[in-house]
Order: sequence, then structure tokens, then C-alpha cells
Amino acid sequence: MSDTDIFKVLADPTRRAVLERLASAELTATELREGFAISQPAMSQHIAVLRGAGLISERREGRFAHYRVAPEGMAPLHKWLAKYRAFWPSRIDNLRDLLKEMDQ
Amino acid sequence: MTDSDALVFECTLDAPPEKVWRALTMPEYLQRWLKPSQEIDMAVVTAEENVSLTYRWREAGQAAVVGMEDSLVTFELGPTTDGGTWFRLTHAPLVVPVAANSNQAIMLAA
Repeated sequence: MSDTDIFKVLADPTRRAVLERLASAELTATELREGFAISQPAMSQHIAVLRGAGLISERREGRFAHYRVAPEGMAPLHKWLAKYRAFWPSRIDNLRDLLKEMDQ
Repeated sequence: MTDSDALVFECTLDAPPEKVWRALTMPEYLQRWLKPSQEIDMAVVTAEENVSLTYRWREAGQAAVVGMEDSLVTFELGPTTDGGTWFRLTHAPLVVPVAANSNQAIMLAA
């Protein structure tokens, strides 16, 4: 899966909520499902998609799998956003200057 | 994390849309205000004169964020009552994987 697919993965509100929840704690699939009105297979599917995108990682302990956020998985997107958040405002300033210099 | 999947900048400019359009489309003007700090390959995807314009924005070279090289930059323009321009810039990464070719093919053909 390419890094740009992160946006597609995060387009789903349940997956965003799962990520938010995992941002503060490591949880099992059962703990993760608490409060969500979705089936266990549906949650497993979301977890599989998030893992496939490298956004969360799994740690096995006996019969239980624990999930947590994989911070490096978000890196390309964050880098990209940070870069262009800085880039465009300065360019829009340049555009304003240019418009003053252009004929009519 | 952003709610939408894109960066959006909106403002008004002290020039009519026709003039802003020239600044957005003529290469010598583009170069003057964009001043790309790295190699950027821009190709027009869609254009409606004085109204909207979308470039495919492709980063090349070492400064490119790996996996995020391809994106779309869209400019939207509208006249304001005082002769200026309402301006909105939307910059969105391409979410379509290269293998899923339908959207990609359309953009390359444009």
C-alpha cells in the first residue's frame, strides 16, 4: 500500500475514531470495540486496513492482540502537510506583490 | 489530523479575476510568484477561464516527500463587488493508487 492511500484509509470515520482512541492507550480489539456500534468482524476489518496502511501495529500476548499507533506510519502525510502549510501563505503574498506590478 | 483531505487557503485579492488568471496561467508570471524551491512538474488538468484551474503538481528530486509526490492544486476565482477577486487554493494529495488506473488515466490524458 502506498503512503498516499493513507487519505483513503482515514476517510472512514470509524477508522479515525479507532486511531484517536489508540493515540492515548494500547488496547485489545475487544477494548477497542467498546462504545462502537459495530460487529466484531467489522472492527477486525478496520484494524486490518489500519495495519495494512502501517498506521497501527499489533503486539501479541497469549491469546490477545494489543494495538497501538505506529507514529512512523503518519510521517509522510504530516511532512507533506507541514511543508505546504508553510509554502502557500508565502506564495500567496508573492502573488499579491506580483499583481501590483502587472499591467492593469 | 485534518477533517478534509486537503489544504485550503481562501482570501481576496486586489485585482480582477482576469488579471489573477494571467498570473496563474502564464509561465513567466507563475515562475515569479511560485518560486518553487524544488523541481515541480505542473500540468494543467482542467481549466475554465477566469473561474477555475487545476494543475497536477508533481514533486521531483530529493526534497520530495516520499509517497506524496503527486498532488492536485486547484485555484478558484470569483469577482467581488469592489472589483477584486475571491480566491481559493486547494492542495490535495492524489489518493488514487497508480495501479487503480481510471482517475489517473483521465488526468494524464488531460
